[in-house]
Amino acid sequence: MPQPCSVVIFGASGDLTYRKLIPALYNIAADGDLPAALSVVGFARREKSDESFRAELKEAVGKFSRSGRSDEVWASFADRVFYHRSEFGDADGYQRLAERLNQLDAERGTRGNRLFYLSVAPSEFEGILEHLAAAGLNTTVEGAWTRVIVEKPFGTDLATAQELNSVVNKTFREKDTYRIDHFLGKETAQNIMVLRFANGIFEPLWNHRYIDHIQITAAEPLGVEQRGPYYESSGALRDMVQNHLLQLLCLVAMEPPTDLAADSVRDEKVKVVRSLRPMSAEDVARDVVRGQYAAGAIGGAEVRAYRAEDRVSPQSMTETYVALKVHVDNWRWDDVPFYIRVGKRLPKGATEIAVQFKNAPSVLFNKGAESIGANVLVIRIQPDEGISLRMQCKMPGAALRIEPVKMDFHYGTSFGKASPEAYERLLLDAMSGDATLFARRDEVEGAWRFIDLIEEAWHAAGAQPPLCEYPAGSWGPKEADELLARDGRSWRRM
Amino acid sequence: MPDTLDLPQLGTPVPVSQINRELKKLWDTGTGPAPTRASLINFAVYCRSTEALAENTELIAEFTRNHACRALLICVCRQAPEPHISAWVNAHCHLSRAGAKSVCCEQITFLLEGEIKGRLTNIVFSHLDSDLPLYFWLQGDISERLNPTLWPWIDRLIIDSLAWTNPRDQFARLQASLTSAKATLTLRDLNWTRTLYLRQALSAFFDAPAHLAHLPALQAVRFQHAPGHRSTALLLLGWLAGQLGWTLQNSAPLVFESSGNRRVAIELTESPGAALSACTLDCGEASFAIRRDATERYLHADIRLPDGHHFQHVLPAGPDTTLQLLDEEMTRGARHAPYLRALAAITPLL
Repeated sequence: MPQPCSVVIFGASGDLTYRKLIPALYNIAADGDLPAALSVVGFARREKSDESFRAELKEAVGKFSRSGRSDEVWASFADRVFYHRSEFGDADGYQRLAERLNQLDAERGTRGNRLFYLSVAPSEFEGILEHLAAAGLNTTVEGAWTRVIVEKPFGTDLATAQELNSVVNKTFREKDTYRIDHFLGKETAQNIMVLRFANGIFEPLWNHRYIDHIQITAAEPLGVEQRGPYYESSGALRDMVQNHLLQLLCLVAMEPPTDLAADSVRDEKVKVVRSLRPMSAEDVARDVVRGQYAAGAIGGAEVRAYRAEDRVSPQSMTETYVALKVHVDNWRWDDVPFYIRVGKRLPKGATEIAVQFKNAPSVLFNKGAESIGANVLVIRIQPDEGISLRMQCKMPGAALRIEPVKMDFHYGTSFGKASPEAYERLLLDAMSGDATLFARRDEVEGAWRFIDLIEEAWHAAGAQPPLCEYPAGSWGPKEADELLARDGRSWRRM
Repeated sequence: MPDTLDLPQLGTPVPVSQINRELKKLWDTGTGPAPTRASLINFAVYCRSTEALAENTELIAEFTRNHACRALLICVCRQAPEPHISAWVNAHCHLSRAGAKSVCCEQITFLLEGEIKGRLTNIVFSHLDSDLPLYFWLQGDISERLNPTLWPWIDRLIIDSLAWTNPRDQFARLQASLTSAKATLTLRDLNWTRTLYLRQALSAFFDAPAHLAHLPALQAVRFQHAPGHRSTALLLLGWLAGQLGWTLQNSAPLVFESSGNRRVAIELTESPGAALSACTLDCGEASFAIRRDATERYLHADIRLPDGHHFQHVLPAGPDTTLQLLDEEMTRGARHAPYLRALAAITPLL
């Protein structure tokens, strides 16, 4: 159970607050894991009263909470929710916030512990952090703590990430800074370490001797929706690969940590980031495919091309799809490629890691022209979190016919209790002071260092790699298939 | 969804975006005994008329008794004036062989009306059970408009050339599609499966070395087939030609030349009854014949040798109905080289 504290959400009238943060806090309360002395303060520009804020949140919880909404739990929870109206740049607003938090400490026993959640655009970070410091909100009373949670995107390249880190670390110590990547809060992402290090059968096989390659896929059928301007400045590589997918890669590729302390785990992840083979412009041209969706069909309906989306340039060169081949240059992963792909307007919404093992020797059943498939261990991050293992099996009958079969474990149906949402786990951890599932400064900067090389190659003067088109609703450009076909491999069927 | 389409057997109508959610609900039994969901393949059935939806659903329900799968039943009606999509989800549950547990398979049905480019492939791609093979049963003629990106995804393409209006054109179109898409799928023709037990019976005639000695003397082959089953008889003939290395000499009268430069006369006659009701190999003084009466489940084999010996025995006749053919197909290996050889031998006759 975390200590009593006040959670202050900057950007409280934003979508994330309504869809994720408040439903997550509500569910933690419904599970009985929230301390009795807890205040939630929404900080935003719009004019609202505590009551009107609560009424809006009540509706949002009814709509977005995984456990629905119980009137009894809501009444108890809503009582602890407050609204603080202020401009982000108004120093006086922060002074009033400080007074209000002190008052809540006194009235509700939150003991001076504060968790600030920056659910705002990165351009607002610096101003908010400076004002927090000026109002003395980055420090607190003796024996209490102040922490800050920062939402992605954490920079747009290495230089901006370093600058942001400097800004944050001027106000909060690194150990009190929680860079959130909601993928890491998913039950299956957390389970990767358990799967690897708590099962005697997997860890001995988890290396270049037995693993042929690894595929990490993050697919979604949605287009850019209302996020055109943001996406235009970001693209799939920066939006997804730099953070979510490299974090997953780290969990799959890391060495066992010495213990489960936050920094022990993060030390190992950083080693993976440092081992990523840097890409030259030639490597990028050969091993990275960038694509953009054209018009096509999703779910039986026609959908428009990216360039025809709202507030997107008709000549846009922004990638909505990336496929890349990555090498982790260390002892364990020698010559084992990691194929990563991410895209919008793909047929399914799914994030999965597939560990493809090497084929059995071509002596008995692999002897013919038709090779039998490899064993594949799939870790489904979302949706339908779970794990499956594909193996080969003889079909019943006199003839020797081998077909793949699948052992499947689903979190959703295997346990009596539903998995908590990622934000529930992450908020709970931040309140408890456990930073294991949050990215550290050196992880973030290391990931940018790797990604920047690709971005530079894409945008360098002269011969840039092409932007490949793919029809919406397909599995990406044919060049991405060729990327694996060159190595005698193919993307797995999802 | 069209107002006139009232097919309760298709299950629950669902918006396409809610299919996965509705499938989960199928398995949420609350406090009741939990059924076991089973799937070894993705079994996609492609048809072109709404009438075929009910028929195929009944067939899938029976099929899932022996073959656990996720079934995708896709009906494409391009002639509709406006594009529209309807979907249903359903589960087919059967008691396991042990009798204690209910084992269920999912069926997702789509009715795609009108024309939208890329819609069929998206529907297939987005509803596959991951990491399992895709068996795609393409009912009726091969459409020129099938998206070539679909072919590489198919592990086993099931067709029934008996239903084709113009087999020669259809085979040519199929070969061209597969070649251009560099497909590595296995092609399975239910019409070829119809000949399976006859092929096995004919092969078995010559397992005995004493019988095999008569094969080089083969001079005439007579097939009797039901009306509408000429292509079945031709596939059986093609198998003989392909396996024995014959080349077509003349199509009327029908004559092949054996690898030993002997003339083999072929006679195809039409007669009501079983798809293939008789097959006789005339090897001079020896003859090998198979006969099947329409209502019988067995083939009658008859061997007459020059020394006066006369043997008769019965053999299983094999599958007749579409369901039986599919059942048989599911138990077969994946190679299709003999089929392609047979096809090459008879293509000019189709």
